[in-house]
Amino acid sequence: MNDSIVTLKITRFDPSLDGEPYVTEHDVPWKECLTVLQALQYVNEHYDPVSFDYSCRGGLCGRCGCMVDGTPRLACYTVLEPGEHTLEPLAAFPVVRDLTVDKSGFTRKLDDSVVAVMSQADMATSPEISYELYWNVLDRLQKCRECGNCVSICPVYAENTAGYAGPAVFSQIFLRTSDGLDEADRVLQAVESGVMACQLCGKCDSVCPVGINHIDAHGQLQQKARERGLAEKAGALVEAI
Amino acid sequence: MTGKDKEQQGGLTRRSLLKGLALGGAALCAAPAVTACASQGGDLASTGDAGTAVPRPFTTYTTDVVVVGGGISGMFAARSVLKSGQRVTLVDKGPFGHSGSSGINWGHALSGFEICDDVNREDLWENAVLGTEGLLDQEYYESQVQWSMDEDVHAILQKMGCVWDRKSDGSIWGAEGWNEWSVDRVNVMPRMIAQHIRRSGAQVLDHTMVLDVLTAEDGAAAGIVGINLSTGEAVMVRAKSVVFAMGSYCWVNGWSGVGAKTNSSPENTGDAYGILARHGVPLKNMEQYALYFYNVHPDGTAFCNNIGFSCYDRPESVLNGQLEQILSPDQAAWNDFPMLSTYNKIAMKEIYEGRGTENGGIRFDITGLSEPDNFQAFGRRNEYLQERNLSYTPENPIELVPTPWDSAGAPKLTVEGETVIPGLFYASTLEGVMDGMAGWNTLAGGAVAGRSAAKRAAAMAVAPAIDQEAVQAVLSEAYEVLEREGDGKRASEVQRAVQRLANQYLFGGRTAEGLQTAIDELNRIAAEDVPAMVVADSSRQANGEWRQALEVPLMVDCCMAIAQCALARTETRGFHHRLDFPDMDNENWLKVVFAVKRDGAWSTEVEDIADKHISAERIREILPEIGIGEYPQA
Repeated sequence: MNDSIVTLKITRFDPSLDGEPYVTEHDVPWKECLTVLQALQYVNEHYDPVSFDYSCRGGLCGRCGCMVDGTPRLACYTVLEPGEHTLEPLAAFPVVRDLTVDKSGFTRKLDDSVVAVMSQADMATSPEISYELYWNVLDRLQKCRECGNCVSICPVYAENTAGYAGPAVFSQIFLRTSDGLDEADRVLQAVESGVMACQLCGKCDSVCPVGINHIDAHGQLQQKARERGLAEKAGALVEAI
Repeated sequence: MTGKDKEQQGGLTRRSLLKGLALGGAALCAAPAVTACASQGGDLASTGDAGTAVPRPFTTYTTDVVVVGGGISGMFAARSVLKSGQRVTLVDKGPFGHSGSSGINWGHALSGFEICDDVNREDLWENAVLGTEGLLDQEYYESQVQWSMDEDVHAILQKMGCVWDRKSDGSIWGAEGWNEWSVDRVNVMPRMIAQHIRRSGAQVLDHTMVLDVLTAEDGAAAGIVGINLSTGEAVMVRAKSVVFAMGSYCWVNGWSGVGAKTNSSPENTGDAYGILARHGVPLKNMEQYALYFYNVHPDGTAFCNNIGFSCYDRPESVLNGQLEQILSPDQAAWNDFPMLSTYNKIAMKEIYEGRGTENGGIRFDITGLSEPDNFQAFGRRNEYLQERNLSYTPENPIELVPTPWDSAGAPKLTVEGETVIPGLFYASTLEGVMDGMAGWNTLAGGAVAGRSAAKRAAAMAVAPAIDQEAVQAVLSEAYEVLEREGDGKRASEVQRAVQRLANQYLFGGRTAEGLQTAIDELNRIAAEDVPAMVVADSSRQANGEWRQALEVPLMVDCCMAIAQCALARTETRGFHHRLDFPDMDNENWLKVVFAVKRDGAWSTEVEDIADKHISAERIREILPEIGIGEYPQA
């Protein structure tokens, strides 16, 4: 293996032209901290242009997610070691072209879960809360990049995307149970969205660019649901939808 | 390049070019989504002069107000329209909620006028006027201030789901009011506003680049025409009013190998400026942008939002005590935080005089910055992510390089945000970016423009008829570049050439000679490179280089407007640094400069500032003349 070269095996597919996806290989000179995004730009500048989306180059906007060696990552904040690497479009999303995917279905799920505060209270004030709660829970939850890494690695989402809203949505619902402002029955909402089917496997946590503790969030929602006896019927519900 | 790569570059590209042409032709007739082809063609037979043998089909949408741009400004414009009962269609170049400057910020702290008392509010006014070094359009700004006094922005955002910013003791940022720097107390989360706007019934057409504003017979705005960048489908929106909220021109600056030399977004190629210039709309303050210092190591994350922000919190590290020597105690007490433009001039002077770093930057001591502050751990303080994901620890002191993060240029506007084209409204931060209150400014500017656009729409029975020939001319140009074969330069190459030119002559220290060189080269690119440029493959599907080809002509006009304004302003002010006119000149230059393109030729016009709230006379008294030449004694 040449230790100064990164060989990218990129899954390409233009659905308006190609019968089926194919793979192209491109050599990119390796250097320390070479990111996937940097390597992709190199391919675009030197070889056949690859279609991919990106914006901030800093792990913020959530747009450049793709499967790097089979795992969903943000291209801008993933480093490549010398050798072969595969780049594929983010799993669980329809491909627009090459690494560009359509996230509109995922976005719709986030919209439908209503991140807005449901309350009749005056929003001109806000309660004092602990440092720990703000910095390590609320701020991470609100800064969810909507990148889709979590749903693309989730084994339950891969089996049932209808009755199971997915990690990003559950965590968005959990945000509203956490700051003391919301008055809606968010636990019931989480159950209706399929949270009881979450296996707490932790794969979503391993790929979240914001460090959201999904497992803690989903576990708490499940616990509250069990305490209220909501859990018993939940399995059937997910099956039924 | 390996043998395999060569084969792909030659063979595949050529093949897909041919395949694309064949399929493109078929799609023209067959695509069921295309509704405008036969049913709404108008007098298409007469479009021969646009050079189109066959009219280009497009999908038509009708609405009351079309808002172009899905950032915070555009979303608050859309909110104003929805609140008025009018219908709104929002067209966004990127994925809605994630695009442009708002998308790269992924949350913006908000400073506002409504949460301080009357005395402090006057201080904020003075801060805005001084921060923009007198250029603020005070009349227009007042309508934004009034809007935010009438509505509790902080409550609106909390209701939308944004969590208010807490200090390390859990208390709310800015609860003490203006005296506590940064009256920030809420995070403005674009994703939550976007969710709200969609849930509120806006029609959102994202991944769609607007190429032109359409006008009616009487010259008023009547809609937009653009291309869906995912599918290549042409889109026309017919509307009673149009709002442009398309953000900055920062992406025209340079290329780092990963992105342009800016923390801003690939969407920010200055499309609005280019379109407005082509319609003869006077563009003001195009020479003014706002710069920050960003770290460039490691180069894969160069110019992204990062630790560089923090250098403004501790000027002693960068400015070596110069600030205190230059400013009188009164001036230094404007704020605990020096004005961005003042700070930048002092720091840039170090660079201009040869004391900069190898990449043209400064060095900044980051000792003690590891505690989370208001640049959150998983927000914009990227050393956490660098450590966590790249196993990279920055050297101390770190190298920071100046680069634009927003532009202050804007079309000539009425107090209600209307351009000289009736029915075309404009929303952005405008010159307000220069004082750093961009978050509030962009939001209020959007709200005011949306409100005005909705008011106009409400008074009209039906959207004016659009000019079919104009639609065909725009679409013909857009598709021709995709279908063109020949020896012309690749669009990506031409875009890089414009970016290199802008980086060399239009940002940082400027000279008459350099600006003239830029103008000459831009004219050459427009005359020679643009008409011949080609795209690697002719697929309409998410074709990134086609998008670059669509951006280039608008970038060229945008850069021309920057160069024209910069050439006309023969002094140093704000972020406009003239190496050949290093001093600030309050006597002669409390003025705004407009660049206008008429019949293909550029000219500039100069007007007095709009000094409704704080007079020019008063500004001369309180605004120190700090340039990049010899400093006055405090």
